[in-house]
Amino acid sequence: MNMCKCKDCCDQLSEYLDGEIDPCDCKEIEQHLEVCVPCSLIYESLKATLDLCAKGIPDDMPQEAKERLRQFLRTHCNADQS
Amino acid sequence: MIEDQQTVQRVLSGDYQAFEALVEKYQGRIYRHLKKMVKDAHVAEDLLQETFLSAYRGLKGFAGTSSFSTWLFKIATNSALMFLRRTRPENVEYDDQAAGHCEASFVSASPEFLNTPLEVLLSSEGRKKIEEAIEDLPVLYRSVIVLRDVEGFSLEEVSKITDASVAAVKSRLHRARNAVRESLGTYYSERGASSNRGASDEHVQM
Repeated sequence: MNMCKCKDCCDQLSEYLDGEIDPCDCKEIEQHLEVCVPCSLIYESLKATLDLCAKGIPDDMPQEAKERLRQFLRTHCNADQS
Repeated sequence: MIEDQQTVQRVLSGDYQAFEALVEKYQGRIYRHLKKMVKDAHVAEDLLQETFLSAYRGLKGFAGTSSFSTWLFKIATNSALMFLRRTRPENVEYDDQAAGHCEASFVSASPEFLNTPLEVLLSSEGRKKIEEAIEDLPVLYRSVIVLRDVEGFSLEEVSKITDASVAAVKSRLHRARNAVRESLGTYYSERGASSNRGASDEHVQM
């Protein structure tokens, strides 16, 4: 494990997952991930983290809060109009 | 997006039902974002009302240079930051200086996290851990990870919403994502160790 290469690689993984790394550097990262097990595990766990953020936080606004919002806006927006 | 612009035009011409359609479409996402930012459901609800009322009043000023959702999330983000500056200034002003709190480092990946099945990761307990890991982040990091990875905005859109450069957004995202990764890794490693201990205790008893 080459600490310098590993640090460079891990420092870029977030941008790599966002597709923000230029193709030349991408190739270097991919080559490193192929041979370095610790970095490839960090990459896999970072990817899993992003996936969980996308799927794991529910949009759970309570129905009563929706109703309160609707009433609040009707009262205040209509007051603005009149 | 074009659909939103058309709805906005209808609101501007006096169609209040069109405004209610926009509220219906975005209320859940804005509420989730606010709840993550202020970590309090009641405050999030107050800020949600404030956000939509400000949007209604300011709709004439919506130039359409960004999408309606970006514009709306920016109003929500600003109202949450104003609330936090007023009530918990120490949590907002020094966030970037407090970066050491979630310094992205070489914390190895947890094999237990990677080997945990998706149905466990997304169980109610698993979801709670994801939420806690995000809520433990300083607010500026919390806002970028929610906007980018939960809400799916592009880096440029997150930059507009949070009034930060794209470079700052990338840097905050890097730290935030790694902090959440480490936090989940630690949780699943400990969970794996305790279930292994349980299994070996049973083995000894047998």
